[in-house]
Amino acid sequence: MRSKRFWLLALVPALYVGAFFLYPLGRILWAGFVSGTPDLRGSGSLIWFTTWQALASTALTVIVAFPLTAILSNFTFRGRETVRALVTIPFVMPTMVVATAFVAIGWTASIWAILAAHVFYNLAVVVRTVGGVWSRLDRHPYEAARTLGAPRFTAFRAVTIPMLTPALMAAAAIVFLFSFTSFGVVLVLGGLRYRTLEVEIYQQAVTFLDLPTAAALSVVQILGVAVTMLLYARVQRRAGRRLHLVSENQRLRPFGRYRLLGVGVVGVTLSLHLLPLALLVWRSFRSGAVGWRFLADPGPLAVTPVSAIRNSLFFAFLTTVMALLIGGSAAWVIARKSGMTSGVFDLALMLPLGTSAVTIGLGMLVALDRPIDLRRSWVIVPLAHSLVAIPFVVRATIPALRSLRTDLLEAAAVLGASPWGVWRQIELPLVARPLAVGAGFAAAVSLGEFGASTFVARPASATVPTLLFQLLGRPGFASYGGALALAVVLMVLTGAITLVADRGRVGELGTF
Amino acid sequence: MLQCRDIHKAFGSTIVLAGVDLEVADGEVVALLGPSGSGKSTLLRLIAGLDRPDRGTLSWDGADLRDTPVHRRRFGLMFQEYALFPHKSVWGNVAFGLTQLGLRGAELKKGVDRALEWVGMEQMAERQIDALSGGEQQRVALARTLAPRPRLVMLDEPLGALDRLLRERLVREMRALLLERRATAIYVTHDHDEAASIADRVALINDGHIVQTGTIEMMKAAPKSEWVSQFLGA
Amino acid sequence: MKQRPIALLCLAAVALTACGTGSTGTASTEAGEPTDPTITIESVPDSTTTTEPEPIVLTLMAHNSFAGAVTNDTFGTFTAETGVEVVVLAAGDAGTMLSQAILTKANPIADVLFGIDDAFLSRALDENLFLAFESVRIGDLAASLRLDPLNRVTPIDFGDVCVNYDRAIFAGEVPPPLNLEQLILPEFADRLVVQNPATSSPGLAFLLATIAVFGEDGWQEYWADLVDNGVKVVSDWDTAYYAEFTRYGGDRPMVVSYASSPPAEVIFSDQPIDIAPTGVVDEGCYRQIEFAGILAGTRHEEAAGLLIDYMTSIPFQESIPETWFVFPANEKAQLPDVFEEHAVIPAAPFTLDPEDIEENRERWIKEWTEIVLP
Repeated sequence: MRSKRFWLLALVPALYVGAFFLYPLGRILWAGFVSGTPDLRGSGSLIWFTTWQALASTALTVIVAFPLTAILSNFTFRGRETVRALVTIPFVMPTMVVATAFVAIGWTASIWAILAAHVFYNLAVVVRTVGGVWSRLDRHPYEAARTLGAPRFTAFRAVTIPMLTPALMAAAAIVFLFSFTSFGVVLVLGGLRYRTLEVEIYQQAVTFLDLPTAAALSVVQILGVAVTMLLYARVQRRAGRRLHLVSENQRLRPFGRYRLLGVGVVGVTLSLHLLPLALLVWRSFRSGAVGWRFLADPGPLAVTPVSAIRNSLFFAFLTTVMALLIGGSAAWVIARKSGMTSGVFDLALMLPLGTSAVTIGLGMLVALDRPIDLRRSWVIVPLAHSLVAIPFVVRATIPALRSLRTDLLEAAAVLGASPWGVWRQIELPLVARPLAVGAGFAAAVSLGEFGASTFVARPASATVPTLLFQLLGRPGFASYGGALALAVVLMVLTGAITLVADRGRVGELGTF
Repeated sequence: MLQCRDIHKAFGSTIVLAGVDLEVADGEVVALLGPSGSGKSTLLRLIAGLDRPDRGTLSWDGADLRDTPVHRRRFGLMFQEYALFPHKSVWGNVAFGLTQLGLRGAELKKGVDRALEWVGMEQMAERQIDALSGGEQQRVALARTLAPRPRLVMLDEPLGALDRLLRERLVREMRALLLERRATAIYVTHDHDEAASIADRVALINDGHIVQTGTIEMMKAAPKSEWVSQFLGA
Repeated sequence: MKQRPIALLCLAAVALTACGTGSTGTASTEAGEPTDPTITIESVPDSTTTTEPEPIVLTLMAHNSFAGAVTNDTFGTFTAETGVEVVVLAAGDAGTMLSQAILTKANPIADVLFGIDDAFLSRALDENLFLAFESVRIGDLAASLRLDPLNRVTPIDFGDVCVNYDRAIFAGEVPPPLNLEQLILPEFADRLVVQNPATSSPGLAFLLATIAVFGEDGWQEYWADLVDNGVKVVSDWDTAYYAEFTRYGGDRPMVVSYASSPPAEVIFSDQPIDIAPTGVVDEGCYRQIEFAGILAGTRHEEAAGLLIDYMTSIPFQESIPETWFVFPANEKAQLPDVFEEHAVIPAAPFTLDPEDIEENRERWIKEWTEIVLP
């Protein structure tokens, strides 16, 4: 009974990823390979650069994010939620806009600009993924180590770090994948001196129309991602352990004598982090806020800013719902089973995050014409978004699901709750917080138009980012200003949605 | 009345229960006494329906329980580590079983208040679980188990983690509570004083078998085996 | 108990999108469908043909900058006249659009494709994407723009990519340059900003202009000189124009842009102005031509032809300059006053043979990258 239901649950995400990712991927790679011979000269250095810049970006991101995460995970203070929300905003900013802001600060095209931009983008991933676990870590093991004579740092290194390792690894894996497949940042801030596989695939497919080479490079990229994920799974298996998580109320304390340190870390990190954004806000108000006046009265635009915002919210809502349903059930399956099947499943779900957006986008166009022609439908947009959003829900939820105490579920059953009731009243509320974190990311992914959606032809149901790009390309300084103002709108939307997700209380969730 | 006939259970190659026979009459409190690893908790899990026996039958009032899933058995089980729901308040925990019975509103409130009253926790209803001491958690767990008036109450080492004084007091209270409700109950413990003071009858379990049943005094007087006299005599 | 907020949130989101549909003058069909700016004006019932079952809906695939400026009026007249509705698909930039068209050749996603330019034309023709179609107005279209003798594509508009300059900066003793050759003179050191040809369409056009001017053997040296003279390269047009150009607070008084940029400055100026604040170096411009074609595999070939006829008609052609800031291909179309007054149409713009471009584009960009971004 239970096992039949289990496989049914596994079937949904499997079909989804199979139909909307693996099948299109297979079709596009096939189409590429049958159309000619790839030209892979120079791809060695391409792979080398892609890998090392991704490693460097990951290391830097973790290093920069760590102090802030530590503060957010140990202390309660006014504005803590706001800080968490602010950190997330850069994650959804369109790269072109951010790159302009970086250029304005004085970062010219260089490898440092690329690395800095990657840190800027991915900080949120570390802060939120690691912070989600750390802020609920039981203090007792650490305190036990201290009473056993370990100095602060030793206790931290020997007790806290090992407990954080799985979350750290999960965050690092996502940051690595994002940097490994970085596109806009590298294109804009790297000139063409620096190019990742992703940039090269785009160039080959779109500028040079060399589909065989693009397909071959896509395969290389996917292999790279697969190897990364396998390594990750291996390390995770060794480091993975059941954690005793407590409520945040139980862990967090006021700053006390660490006030200066806390305020300092939060202040410095945030101000560096938000500088490009602040600049953007400032620029949008330049010249008498011409951009805002433009947004208020845009003239004969195909899509008004208001309807773009509405479209964006609608897509974000759909994406979040799909990611929660698909990603949630997938996480549940993966957390319950171990071994090959769940490993392969996990990998298949993570792959869209590490596959070139051009490849997926074009793949969807090639493959999704039968049995229903989805290519001309707006449905393809939330579909493409959800592929990227699902891994976030999966990664965020698995640790919580794995550390769920089974006796709670059994107690509920003995007290008369049906399996459905146990799930709804106990299991779901207990993983609600990580689910909400995943949901926040899913909404952000959609708001920021990540991935393939930019490469599928679609009805001009413009979202905020697509309208933003249209405005950027139009003559007239007002519309350029309008684009900047729209970027600010996007920032505010993201901040608001993240705040809601952080406070998201599903079911009867109280303190978590 | 609960009947266990020839219950077998193994986990992999480890045999935990090897033919257990046990009956609990209506209104009777039976203590299941035995050393760690003797299979006490496993037997409770089988009766509750959390696991299935490999062989043998469980029945209630003559009706086989095989096809009755956990949540339809209307048995109560108090877990060793209480298994209180961390995301619910004291009130929410105690209300859980009652809401499964369909109680709402004033009726629900009456049921919860009454159960909290039994364990003397009326004042703590709005507390969060992580703000309770061990003894308080134990009381909440007991109230939660008793609140929906289960046909059978099972208590798995319910006082294990508490200090001696508190334990002695709580055992008396619990005995009174069970008697008052004329509850049918199985009380698992490894402490024979506890077993003696709470139960009408004690079943000694060792190595997956029920070795002897009766009162402690009776078994001490006429031990069926060397092991019984050693276990009780020590 | 606490379930309510999230339920409300969902409700709100649903309500927001549901009540949103249709409020901006579009007739959406499904509940919850996002506001769609595509043209779904109900066709005017034709009194003579009462048996007509359903109006034909044509899908027009276009690059984003075209699709972004389409409004309800763009094809309103066409729909009113023919009963054929037009849905516009935004397909990314020109290159993305072409690769999409090539990959979906077997089962095309659109009936008509618009916005293929001369740089991609040869590849599109090689792939046999289009059906031959001779527009009724073929004679009115400038002969120099009709690059395909078989009429598989029809020119709709053209635009010239030229070096623009800030009049305020060049009002003094240093006059603006007259041609590309002068850009490497010392007085223009550190003055020019251009776009990367690999990422920007005007950037590629400017590279093509230099190849046309200096020849296959000379352009590399010219670019090396430009680099020595301090040319700045950015990735896209808007960064070049709105961040680097002196007119918008940057420090480069010369920028690669369009011949239509000065009239745009006038049109979008806050205060009415008589003279455009920017000028165009009208020697050494590259002419980009944009074509439309009927995609092979369409089920509405006849209607698709009507659409191309409409796009070459005087009313549509005359709306082109102020909507997309390019120039009409139809020679009979009148330019709006502001274009007559402020636009420069270079007398002798450069072009290259599309086949040449197709054959060499990748190599040129790679060589350019090695010279300019070592």
